Amino acid sequence: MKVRIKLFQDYKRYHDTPDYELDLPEGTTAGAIVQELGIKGPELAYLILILKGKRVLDDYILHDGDELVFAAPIGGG
Amino acid sequence: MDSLSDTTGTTRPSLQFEQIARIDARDKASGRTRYMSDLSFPGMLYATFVRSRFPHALIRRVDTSKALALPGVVAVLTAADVPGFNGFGIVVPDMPVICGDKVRYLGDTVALVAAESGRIAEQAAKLVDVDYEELPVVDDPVAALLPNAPKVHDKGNICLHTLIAKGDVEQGFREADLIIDHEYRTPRQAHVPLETESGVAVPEADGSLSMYAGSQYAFRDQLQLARILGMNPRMIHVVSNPVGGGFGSKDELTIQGGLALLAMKTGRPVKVSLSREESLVSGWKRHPFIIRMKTGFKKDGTLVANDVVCYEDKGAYSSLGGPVLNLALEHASSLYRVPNTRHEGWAVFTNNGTCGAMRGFGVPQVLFAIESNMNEAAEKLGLDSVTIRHRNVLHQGEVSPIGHTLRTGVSMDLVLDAIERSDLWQRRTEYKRAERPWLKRGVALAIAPQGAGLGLGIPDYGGAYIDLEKDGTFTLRIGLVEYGQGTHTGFVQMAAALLHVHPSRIRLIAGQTRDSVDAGPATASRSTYTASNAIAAAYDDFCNKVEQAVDGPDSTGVASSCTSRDGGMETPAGFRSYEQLAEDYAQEVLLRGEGYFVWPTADREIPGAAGLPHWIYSFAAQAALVEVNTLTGETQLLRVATALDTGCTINREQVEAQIDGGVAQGQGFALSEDTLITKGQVRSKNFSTYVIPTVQDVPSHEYIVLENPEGTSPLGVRGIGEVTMVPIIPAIPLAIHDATGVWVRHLPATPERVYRLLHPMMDE
Repeated sequence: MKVRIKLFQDYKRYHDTPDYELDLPEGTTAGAIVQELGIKGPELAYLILILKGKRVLDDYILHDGDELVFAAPIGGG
Repeated sequence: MDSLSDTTGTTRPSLQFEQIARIDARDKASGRTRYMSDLSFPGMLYATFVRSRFPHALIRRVDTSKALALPGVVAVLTAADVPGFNGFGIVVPDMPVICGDKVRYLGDTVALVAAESGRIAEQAAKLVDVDYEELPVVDDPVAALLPNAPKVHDKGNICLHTLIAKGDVEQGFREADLIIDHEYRTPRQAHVPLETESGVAVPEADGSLSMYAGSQYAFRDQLQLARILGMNPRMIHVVSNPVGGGFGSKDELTIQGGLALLAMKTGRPVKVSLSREESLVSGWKRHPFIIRMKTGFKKDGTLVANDVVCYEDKGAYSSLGGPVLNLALEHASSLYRVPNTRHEGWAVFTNNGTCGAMRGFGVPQVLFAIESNMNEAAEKLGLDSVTIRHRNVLHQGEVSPIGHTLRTGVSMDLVLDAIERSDLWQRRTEYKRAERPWLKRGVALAIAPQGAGLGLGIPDYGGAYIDLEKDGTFTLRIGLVEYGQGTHTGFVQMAAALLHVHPSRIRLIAGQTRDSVDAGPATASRSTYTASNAIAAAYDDFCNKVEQAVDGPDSTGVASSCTSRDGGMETPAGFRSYEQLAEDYAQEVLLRGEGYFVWPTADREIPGAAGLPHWIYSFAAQAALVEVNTLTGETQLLRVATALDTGCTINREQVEAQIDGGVAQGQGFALSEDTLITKGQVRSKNFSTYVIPTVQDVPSHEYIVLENPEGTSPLGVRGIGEVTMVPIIPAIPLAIHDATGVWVRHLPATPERVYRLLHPMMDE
């Protein structure tokens, strides 16, 4: 299955490009992508995963066509 | 440049919103509402935050032995006791929960005490022995940029530098017939909510933590606390409502980190409620700005160039200082048609307290400057202040001063037309007649846009659930916190209008992490707009769920044919009341509509300016009538007219209340409020020296509510929380000019400041 990954803010530095596609086996969780990227420490603690406006946790099982956003819950105005 | 596309939503203009009083009015008016400072738990301890004695110093040693020996003291914590990451901050977590090696302002925490009573905790705090090595204080943001300035942080004093340029500003000035060039200064306004920073942290039997503390985003507090405690966020439950006022002061963490550490260390609930003095010394403030603005005009008032340099006094820690600076720079030429711009700014660390989010978020500061330059140009060019603005306001489809295309709902001309038609403006000559020769009256107007939402590059999203309960009533779940705006009443009204039921049939669960759904922060004029989209999406999903329930497995579950009317739904099987639907389908399983929404954003960032541009703006115009006592310099705000575009009004009473509150807060900014800090020492620590408008000071009001539907909201709404306080800020000093002839360029316009402008020789 194909899953699109979008990295925002400081999480951009965990991959060559902030917006890319992965070909993944069925049953892959969002947490597996987090682990694969090597996000840890305070940045892991402050990470949110968003799927079409919905917060998901690391045990979320990805589906074909998903677009998973990695971001910190920073604010703006 | 980004391409022009139309709006994305489909409005539902036929919806009728039942006009009700605030859903929390009765409990608040009768004293039944239990704020965080009212909470009590069995075995509860009381906390004291041991604050720094110096605005800038190294910490050599912290000795807690005497404090720990005091009977009744249960715990005294230092930096070494932080199990996770010892820092917090929405954007950059550079503020220690407990300082270990250095303090950067008087509000810094050097130790935490938990004791059996508040009095014992305060006594123990005095026994914590801290050995400091004082450092030179940095108290001027411009001086702090000099190479030899003492460093507040190891990396230096620049929190952020941003430069946005369009066209050729020097060529623009060469083409100009008139150049207005001034420096403006704005105050360190405090939020002063009725309830100071207060809360209780409760360790639960399963090892989790419950945090009850008023804030503006429970889901983010949860992650910041998890980072500090080194805990799984699922083991932290945050309840942020009710909040006794915020205005931005509770967007960032305040007391939660310290309370959480003490609760987990002692295994007992721990409470604190800051005194007003401690709140004013340690709490977040609005960033003071020094603004140098040079603006070029043609003879007919057309803008040709604007060169702006902003110095933002960040105070000690980052928090939201970067985004505040960038939003200010986005608005530094307002939404006027300026072909050549150069907007540059520095957010600079100092030892002057610490600043963060506050209603308006950098926009009031720069609007004061650009609106003042507009009026001065109008006067010198022989134009009136309406004509010069009409000549320059942007419309949908045009390019902004920072170079992005305005794609949706631009109402600059709409609010300007409306304020021109106001009674105050039309009869201003009559209103300006004063009763005594030493009293001078003036009237002026100003207009403002206010970017809404978090901006490009920051995922901006929200969810909502609509649950049909077993008795046919509904529960609406949405994470957005309410801290006085009236938004929760509006959310219930929206859901009620969509479902065609009375709002009393809907129970709201909001502002907490366990039983509501993340809808982002209650900031940036985003709550009502976000909720309108999330609730409408939840309603659509609820219709699908009803169709699936009625039709069974054959339902496509995609585009529902169900529609609500008269307390029920038309379904493929005919009309069913919600009671019938609940009886048939919601007894064993949850009939829930889930709605999720992602804000529309521009497809291209403004180079070098994170978070910019915004896609949606709020718009307001305000006119002010002031009376200046030329013998004392005292200014009274007598009357205000506000023209505000709500897009679609959900609750008229709440709109007027937001205008009243916005005007009062803008009035304070313009006339009296400033947290005075000298050499890092706070001089205005309570309401005798920090002067806010009271009910005796607020003006009479003329409300003009416009409804130009925002096309990206299915209900047509746009946020109004911030913009209601913006144009009044320049309108007041410009009205002082109309009354007396003096230009006020340093706010607040205190009696002393106005007197010196009126009597310049008195200084010599």
